[in-house]
Amino acid sequence: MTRFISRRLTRLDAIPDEEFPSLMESHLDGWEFAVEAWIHQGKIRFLNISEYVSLGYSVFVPASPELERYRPQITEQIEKLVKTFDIEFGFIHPEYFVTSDSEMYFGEVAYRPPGFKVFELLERVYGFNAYQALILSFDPKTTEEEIHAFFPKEVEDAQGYAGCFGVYPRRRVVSRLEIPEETEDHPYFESHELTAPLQETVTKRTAFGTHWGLVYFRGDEADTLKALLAHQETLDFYM
Amino acid sequence: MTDPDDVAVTEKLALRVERFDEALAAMARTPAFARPGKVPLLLDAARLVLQEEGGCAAMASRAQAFEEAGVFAGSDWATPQILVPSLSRGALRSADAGLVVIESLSQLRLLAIAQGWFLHPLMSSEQAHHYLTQVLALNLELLFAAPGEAERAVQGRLARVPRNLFAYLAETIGYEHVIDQLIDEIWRVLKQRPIQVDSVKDMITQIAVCRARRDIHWGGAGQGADRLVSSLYGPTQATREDPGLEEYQRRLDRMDAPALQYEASGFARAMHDTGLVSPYHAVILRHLLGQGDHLLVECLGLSSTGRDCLLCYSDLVHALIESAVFPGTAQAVYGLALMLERGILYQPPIAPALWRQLGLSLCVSAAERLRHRTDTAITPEARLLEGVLCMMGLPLGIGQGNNPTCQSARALSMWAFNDPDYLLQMVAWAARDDEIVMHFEGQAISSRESAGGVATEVPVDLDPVSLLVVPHLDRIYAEMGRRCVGRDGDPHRWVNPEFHGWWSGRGFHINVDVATGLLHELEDFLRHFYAAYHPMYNGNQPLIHPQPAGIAVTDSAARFIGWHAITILRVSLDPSGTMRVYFYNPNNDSGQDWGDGLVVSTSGCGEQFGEASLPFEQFASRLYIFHYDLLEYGEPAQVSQEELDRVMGYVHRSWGRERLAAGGLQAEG
Repeated sequence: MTRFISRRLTRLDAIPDEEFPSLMESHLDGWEFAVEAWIHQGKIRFLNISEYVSLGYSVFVPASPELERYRPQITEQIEKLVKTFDIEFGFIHPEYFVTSDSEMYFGEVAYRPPGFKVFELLERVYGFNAYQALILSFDPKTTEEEIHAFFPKEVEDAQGYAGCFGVYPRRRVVSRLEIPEETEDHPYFESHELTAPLQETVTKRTAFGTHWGLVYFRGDEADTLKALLAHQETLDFYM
Repeated sequence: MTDPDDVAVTEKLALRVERFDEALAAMARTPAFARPGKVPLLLDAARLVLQEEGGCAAMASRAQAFEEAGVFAGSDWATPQILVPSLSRGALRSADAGLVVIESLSQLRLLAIAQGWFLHPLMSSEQAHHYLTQVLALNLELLFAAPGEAERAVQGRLARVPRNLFAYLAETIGYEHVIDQLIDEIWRVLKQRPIQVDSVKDMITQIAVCRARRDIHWGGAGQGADRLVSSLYGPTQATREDPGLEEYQRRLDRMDAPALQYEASGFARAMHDTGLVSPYHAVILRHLLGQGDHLLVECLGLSSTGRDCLLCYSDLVHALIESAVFPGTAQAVYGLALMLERGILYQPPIAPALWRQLGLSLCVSAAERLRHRTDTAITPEARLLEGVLCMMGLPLGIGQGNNPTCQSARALSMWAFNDPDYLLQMVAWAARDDEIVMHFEGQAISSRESAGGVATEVPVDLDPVSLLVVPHLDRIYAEMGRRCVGRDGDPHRWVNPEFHGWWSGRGFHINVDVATGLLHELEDFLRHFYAAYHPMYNGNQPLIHPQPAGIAVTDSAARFIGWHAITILRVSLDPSGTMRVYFYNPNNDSGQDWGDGLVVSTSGCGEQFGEASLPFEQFASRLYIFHYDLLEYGEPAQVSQEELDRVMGYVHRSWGRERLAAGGLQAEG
């Protein structure tokens, strides 16, 4: 399969005919976030907003207070989705963009757990196992009491903020893994799941393709975490 | 008053310990099947703790908790009783953080066992203590030497982990235990008379440094250290206080003949005692060149054989000392002495071949490979000559280093032992022409035109001759293997005789079916081996030529590790009347524990320097390939069934355990 990324519509002409039929996806510029919503008996039981710092690089939960301000509007949108798809039990994971004029655009919706280990991040701050939550909400026999006992209160019950950063080597040729000292020494740093490089040459990154592993952070301040996650993009993890 | 920096350090450590405790608790909560997924996070959290000062103590106190949480489950570390101390070297120097950390955690766990508060089901406190002292002794440079460039380049900040670990272990166990163990270890290695003694010299230097430190309490330890330290730094009256090379030369200039003789014999004693040569020895040997050959004989510690040889080839010996013996290449003295003792100069081609070596101009790439990395005063030519003398004097002292090139090391050793003229020819080709051509079934194979060898990296940790010749041999050996692709059976059948020399037998037996890897006609194999090699079954014929053979190496738990190339040197009765096979193992340390009671002996059972030995039965049980002379060969031996059953028992309990054919399994019941 070939992948193309184009910023201009005219470049589509450059794609040779034999590449069609092809699957196209448009990328919008804007502030992007995702939602994870557990639904039981047609009602939203837990709604998380995952805030992206840089799309494809970093995400954290719960969202910063600036984004959480939109929670009522976001909840309305999700309720529309639940109604449209007639979801009684289950879980959805939609994505949205907020553009510079504060307009919220629907991106896509998935009926599956999110990527970037968001479930693990949720467990770090709320303490519940999000996979277990899936099973509970998909099961019509789960009682109202069980649901109430299981889910914490969004944002209020969160112990700080948890985020992760997807490492992609910045150099073309790498030989070893070395976590930057400032990353490791930061009080928010928790752990990483990077492994020593198996190949020396780094393949060119296409779209938001495969990172080499995640680095986990947790702390009390959303702003600090956000800056920290953004800063990781300027550091070398592979030398 | 508390230093604010200390507070910061303690807080950082406390935070990291807290993170580790969280990871540990999460792992303990996880059901066993899902735990492997949690191990990397736990190890990384442990790494952050161990990198901090005081981190080792924090982890040691949690030893029982992390072992019981399953951090070692499913790995060799889960059975500490089989861990091999020497493997810790590689693990602790690895660039893989996970490996460094799990090895460190394992040692802290053993410390808890040794201290007696963690009762381990598989290991006693004494065993743990013994293991840790060995590990410390083997890694002494981590305690005392500054981190080398290599360590930094490979490990970066990770290098703090093994260093913190060793400082903590040594403080807790006590330096005096380390030193005694280390001294025993050095003597054990030296009895095998390796050519490569750099690391031994380094360890002795560290002992000397430790002894000079006042803050280390020695207790009654270190009794055997004097001979080792003095052999390098002060073997004689006039060098006792390590005066420095220039001062020693001034002292020599003022000595009369009896004083010189006294010095000379002191050096000779130290050298033959330990196999190590002091740089002062090189100074006096050069000084004695103008003083008459009887002093040279004294200084080399020669017997009548060596003396005759020296007097016969006086000019050549003078020229060799002139060109090869310098303080930086002092081991050449020992090589020269043993070469003279072997009498090989009486073989007609050797002396002219050595004259060629003396005048040989090295090609650019050879000179580059031989350039000493730290001591620029040593010329590549002198270094190569030192290597040649050592190889001619100590054919069984060649080691393969940390490289998969056992066949090449074995070939060099066999030539130095059996055909030294051919070895000198090889060295000349490699050093002058940068090419070696060998023939395989009539077709020429050039080392230059052959593609890759067995080793993927250029070896660096070798003696000078190996450094130069092994890359060529390795490529040729691999090419010979490639030419056998598609033939039925094991390629060693054809490659070994063509590669090593006419004397390696064309008759060939193997007890493993190449296609399936299963044992194949084991009893028949053994009967033929007894008939060809055992003096009681082959008409009491001592082995004439060294023969290549293949063994299945097993670890201390008798599990199969891999195939390995060795040379069978002789089979004879040892001083206690046991029939033993004496062999050469290109591995750097032949004294290995192969499990199930097989411990390879390197001294005390009639071995000569560099030989390894096992009782015949035990050796036969690890053998999988041997060669023999088709024409000198009798009937399969009428060995008693009980004896064969014992050998096969050893096979079935070790590397043969998973290689039994379906029928064999049933027979096992």
